Amino acid sequence: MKTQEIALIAANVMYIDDVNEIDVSRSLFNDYSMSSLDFVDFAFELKSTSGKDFSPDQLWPVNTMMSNPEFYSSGKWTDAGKTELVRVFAGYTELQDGQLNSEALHNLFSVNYIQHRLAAM
Amino acid sequence: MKALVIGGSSAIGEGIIRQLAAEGHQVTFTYNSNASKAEALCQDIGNDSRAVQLNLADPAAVDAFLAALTANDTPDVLVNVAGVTHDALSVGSIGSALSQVHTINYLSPATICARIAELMMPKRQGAIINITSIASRFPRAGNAAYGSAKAALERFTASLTLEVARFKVRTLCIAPAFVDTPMFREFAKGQDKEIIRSLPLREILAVDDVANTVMAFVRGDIKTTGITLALTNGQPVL
Repeated sequence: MKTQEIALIAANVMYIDDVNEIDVSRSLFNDYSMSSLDFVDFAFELKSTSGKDFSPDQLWPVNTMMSNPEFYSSGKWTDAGKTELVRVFAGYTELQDGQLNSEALHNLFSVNYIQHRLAAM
Repeated sequence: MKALVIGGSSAIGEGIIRQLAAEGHQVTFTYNSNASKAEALCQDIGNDSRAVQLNLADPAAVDAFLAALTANDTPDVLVNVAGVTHDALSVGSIGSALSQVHTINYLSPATICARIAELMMPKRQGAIINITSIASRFPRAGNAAYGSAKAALERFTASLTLEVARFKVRTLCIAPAFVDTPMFREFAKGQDKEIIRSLPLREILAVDDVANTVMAFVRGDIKTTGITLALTNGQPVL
């Protein structure tokens, strides 16, 4: 999908009147206040438009990973978790140690990331 | 239109199934132990109806039942009607009974709601109806376990409503008072007349009163979501 198509879906879901307000490199979670329900709605619309079969968790696996003790335990990513994160973002960005926290990871949830993720599915 | 009714071999469940089928729904329903009754009901209503054995007291069985559902199985209507009464004082060693009553009346129906809601949301339509009880509002000696389980289901449904509303999935809890069922007669222990005499309306509900309410919501004749609708025997519910 083109970034403009993805941005338009995001804008519609979040009731943003002008799609140009969305910078495709900025975080939909942190910069545009996409809520968890917005995210689910967004994922359903992307699924419908792209014709690809995926669950919201597959689009953004980080939250589910953080509730899995194999990947995230005692407030930290395990080695298995770090390996899985690298796999999720492979080809999009190389994660630095400073990005292994919830807010920094949420900063990666941009239109650009989604385009990459959909293409990888 | 597809409907899933959890607890189809109860009197109220059967009444709801019959009305859903009569209005063209393909009904899948669960039963716990009365396979012959479930089979007879399937044969009677036809319309590709299906009965599935499911014990709500067994969370693993509920999980397996839900895990087997795919998007193609998504019902347009879910009705949770199964339940078990438990009339006993809430003092002493109640852990086991409390756990069982809450598993059957709250945890399993809530788990089923959650999974079915997940399936309904992408389709942006659906009606979830939970049959609770007026016992959730009227504490009485002996009904702590049952009343608190039904209250929990109402409260769970209220929050679920907020999460599914934008996806056009609507919810309703129907809280009947006394309904003319075997469960009522078991509760009354032969004192039916004395109980009915004590009721403001001096009558109890019929099974079809509950089923009619379900159908009104399914048809969209009751345009709301997230509420608990009390069907009373005359007791005001504020």
